[in-house]
Amino acid sequence: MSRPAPLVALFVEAVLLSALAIHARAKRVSRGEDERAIAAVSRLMPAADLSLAGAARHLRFPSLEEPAAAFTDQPGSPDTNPAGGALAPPTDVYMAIGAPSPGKSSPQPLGRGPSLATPR
Amino acid sequence: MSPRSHLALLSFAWGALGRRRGRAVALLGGLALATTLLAAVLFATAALKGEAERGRATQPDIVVQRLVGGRPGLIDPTDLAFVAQMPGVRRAEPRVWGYVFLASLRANVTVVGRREEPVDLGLVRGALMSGRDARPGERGAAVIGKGLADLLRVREGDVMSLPSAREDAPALTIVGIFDSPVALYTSDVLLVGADDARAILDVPAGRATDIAIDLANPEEATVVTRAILDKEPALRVLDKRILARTYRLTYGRRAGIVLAASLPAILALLILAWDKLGGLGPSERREIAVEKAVGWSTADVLYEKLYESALLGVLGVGAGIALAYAWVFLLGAPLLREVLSGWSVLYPDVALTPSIDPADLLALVAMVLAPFIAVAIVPAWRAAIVDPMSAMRT
Repeated sequence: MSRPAPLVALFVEAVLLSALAIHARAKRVSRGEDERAIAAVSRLMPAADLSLAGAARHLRFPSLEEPAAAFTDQPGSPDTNPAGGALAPPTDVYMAIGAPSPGKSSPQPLGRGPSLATPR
Repeated sequence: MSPRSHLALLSFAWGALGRRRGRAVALLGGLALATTLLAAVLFATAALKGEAERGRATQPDIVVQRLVGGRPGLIDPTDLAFVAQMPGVRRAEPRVWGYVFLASLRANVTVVGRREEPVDLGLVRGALMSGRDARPGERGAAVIGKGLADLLRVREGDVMSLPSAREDAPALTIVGIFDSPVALYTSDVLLVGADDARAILDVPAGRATDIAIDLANPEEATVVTRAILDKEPALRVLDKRILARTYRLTYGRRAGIVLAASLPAILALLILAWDKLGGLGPSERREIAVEKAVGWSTADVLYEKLYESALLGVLGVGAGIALAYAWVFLLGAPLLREVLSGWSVLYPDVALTPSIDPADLLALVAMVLAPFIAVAIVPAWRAAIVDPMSAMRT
């Protein structure tokens, strides 16, 4: 076994990690260019919260939406609602309890195809 | 011992790893996988915290809600007048926003009433992917989040209606679609005129969902909060800094749960390392006996064994960090991201941006590497004190 072999292996690893650090820096710079758009849009949004989990009502204000309600999130507590975890919430239950809207009907069924304005 | 001797021992350790390739690959792979898991959680958590922090600067300093029976109720005009005259309040603006459940998507959509901001999103690069901004006061126009538009399969110019309790809820014409760089904030959003938002969400005129407050001095947020609550305990005040802390706690807790769940894997690795590094096979005992017979000192053998562990450790940890980086920032952290950021129908499709604290990375390396090398010390010492005569006889 030649003497420089372990040094070469360590050098290759250092080069690989340096390349990743450069890539990370480039991505940060690229994301930094979006700052103005983020600032303009987030100013119009209701909360500092991200739209990461929109299925449960409390998740746009995690932990703070309903402080006195049963089963609400608390800072540092485990999620009691599965929408905050890897599992989907029981959407079938939502469907079963969802009453038809008394408002005006949609000109197209939402999410089921192109709208009236979409060229055929 | 001279640097040249150390280099020679390092080379010898490298050769020894090659001679016991199976054991070396098992340890290297185990260490790399354990590091990958830990580093990926660290990377993804830091990236999500960074994104949550990014939009904070332009948020209102405090947000006031009204509680009715412990649940958020609508803001009265008197509430607005009350907080607007508080000392230190520079601007108090009522906001109308809320959620609409779309049965066809089985998801909640966030309907946001357009605030009277002078900025035109159409002129801000990266804000809109196509179309234009909804003008303040414009009726029947909406800017839609990209995730929502994709899910509904609508585009600029399409007309849609949302379920509403009010007959006068308007049909909405999509005038613009938010761009990908802001998808984390807008994926589930329909930005409409304030009057349209009132009609869709059934918020009576003069009332609001909450009040956004900008302070003359943001450092006074705690004082203003206390002053508001002293005079009107039925209001709830959300400090921007508390929201930021909540986010850090939320992601920190979720990362902690994942790390706690992966602790058995780390312990299994250490046990494997102890077993593999501690058990001297016949060939290894013979090799050490020969080394000592030809003049190696106990210190030489000790160093050589420690170099073996260090080489395995450094290469394994480095490979693990590289794999974790690729998993999170090149592949988008499949499986892990759902656990850390939560499940959603309207999941924003945005690549995570590296936001890694070098101190955290060093702590991670120390956490994995230190015990790995530490468990090798005793076996290395046992190997170093082998009696060459008895070892060669057996």
